[in-house]
Amino acid sequence: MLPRPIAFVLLLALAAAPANAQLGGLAKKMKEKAMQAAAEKAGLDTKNAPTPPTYDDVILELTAPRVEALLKGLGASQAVLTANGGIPAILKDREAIEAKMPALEERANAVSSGYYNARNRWSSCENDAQDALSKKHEDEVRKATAAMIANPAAAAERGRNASTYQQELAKAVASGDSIAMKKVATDYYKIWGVDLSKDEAFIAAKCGAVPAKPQAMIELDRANARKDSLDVKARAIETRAILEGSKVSGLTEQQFAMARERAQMAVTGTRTRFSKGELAVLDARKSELLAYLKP
Amino acid sequence: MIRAAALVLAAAFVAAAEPATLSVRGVNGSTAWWQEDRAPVRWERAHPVVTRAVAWHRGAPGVEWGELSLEAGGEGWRTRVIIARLDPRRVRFDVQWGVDSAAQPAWSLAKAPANVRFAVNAGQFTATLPWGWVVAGGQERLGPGRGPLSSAFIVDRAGAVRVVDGDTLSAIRRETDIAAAFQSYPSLLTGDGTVPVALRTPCAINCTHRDARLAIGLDRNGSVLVALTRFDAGGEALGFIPLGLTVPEMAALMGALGARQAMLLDGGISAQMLVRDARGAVRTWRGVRRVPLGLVAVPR
Repeated sequence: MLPRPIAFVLLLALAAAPANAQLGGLAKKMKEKAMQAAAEKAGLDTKNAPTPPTYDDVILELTAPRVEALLKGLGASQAVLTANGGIPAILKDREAIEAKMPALEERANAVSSGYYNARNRWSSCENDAQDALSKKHEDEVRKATAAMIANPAAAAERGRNASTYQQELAKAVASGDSIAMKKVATDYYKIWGVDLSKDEAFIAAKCGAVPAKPQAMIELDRANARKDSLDVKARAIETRAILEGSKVSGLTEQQFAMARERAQMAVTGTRTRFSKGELAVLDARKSELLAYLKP
Repeated sequence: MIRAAALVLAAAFVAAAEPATLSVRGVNGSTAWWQEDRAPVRWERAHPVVTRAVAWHRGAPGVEWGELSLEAGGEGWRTRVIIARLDPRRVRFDVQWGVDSAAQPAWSLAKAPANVRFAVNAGQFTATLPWGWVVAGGQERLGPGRGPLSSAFIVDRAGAVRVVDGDTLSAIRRETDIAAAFQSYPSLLTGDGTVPVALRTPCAINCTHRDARLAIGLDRNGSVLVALTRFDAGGEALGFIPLGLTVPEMAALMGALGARQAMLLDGGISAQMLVRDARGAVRTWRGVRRVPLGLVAVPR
């Protein structure tokens, strides 16, 4: 056991460290001498050199009840990590998908350039068709506007209808209902003499159907999506494990993580910054802690 | 006793008012080379004061390692840095996965292959899984993580190494020639030696916490640089004490060593590193816990 005065000198030397740069040679020499003496007298063996930390909201003193709580938390956390196969099972599933990826990628690559070429050709055709439709619709709006100017009563009626459709459109947008949005937009444009209902048929007649994604590419997309969802699942379990450990131990997440980190340090040999009492408590539960905190 | 307490209080007061500095310690005393309030926002080249102060040792082919004594503020007043410089043309990097069947981290230096020339813990982790993207042995183990200030270390099938920003990974991930990769945070240097805005003064992250640090980066010759800090007041026996530099100081250190891009790895009690010296003997700086990921370099 390191004598108390030596432990104090070691603590003082560490605490006084910021003085080094500013207080000049004397303070520096004092500290170095103190540190050297402490280290030498400790035989460079810090296993028995407890120097209490500054406890605060996160660094709690590891008393016997707290170590008991930490152990319960670690157990609960471990149970979450491994329940129903837990993270190892997910990683195994992911590994199995990963093993299939080269073959899936090869099959998808064999058809992807053909698909992208066809898709680009279709997009270019669709773009031209949309241009033609825009010109047609502009003419329709021009004619409808001229008719409205000639008939003020009908114009007022159209104004009222337009306002109703705008409200319906806003409602459909707010609810994210794409079918309703399309219907309201089509009806709304009818007021302006524009018939959108035949646009899709026009594009299909001109450009054909949208090229379908080849099955091999869909399978690759599915495999990638499945891998990502397994990642999310694994990480969610990890988060749940931390939360459960925190809950069962009665410590906040930060306190639990810090207690775990400090316990790990103590049972694996880094025994500075602990009080004698903490080391005694941690040593008494060392074998139980090591079950969760392997060095 | 009262005088000593007064000294501590005075020191704390003075230290709070002064900007952080970094100095190299040599036989002729200390030479300051970086100051927080005048820190470069971009490191265009290595700092000669720092490079001259590194005592380099020849390691196994493709491996050099060196030591540097630094003086920082507060508890970092005696910090030794172990630096490894690795040539990807002579060593091949791979990532080793280490999560066991009980969902516990399982990698340590002991898991490195017999012919290893260099090994270090890789990435960051919370409880069990490595954070972010992992490709090990040519297989993707986990998808990219999202968050500011992350970087990724990538090795292609030809053995070439690059360090990229984390926000570019959704495209890079689909490249088919990636042999190994991992993601970590925070980025210390990006692009061509630029210090991320969040690490400059005023700092957007916790830039005052001192800890044992571990960083990896690439220099302008394409070599991989790894820097591990050790507490240096009491010899190597006390080296594992988790005290050292702040995050901006690590960015400065990597810039001063000549890195263009760099990021932190898990330091503290996780930090562990191995280099094989020129005679074939292994030198290790051990951590005190297992981690889920290791980076190893073996002969090409």
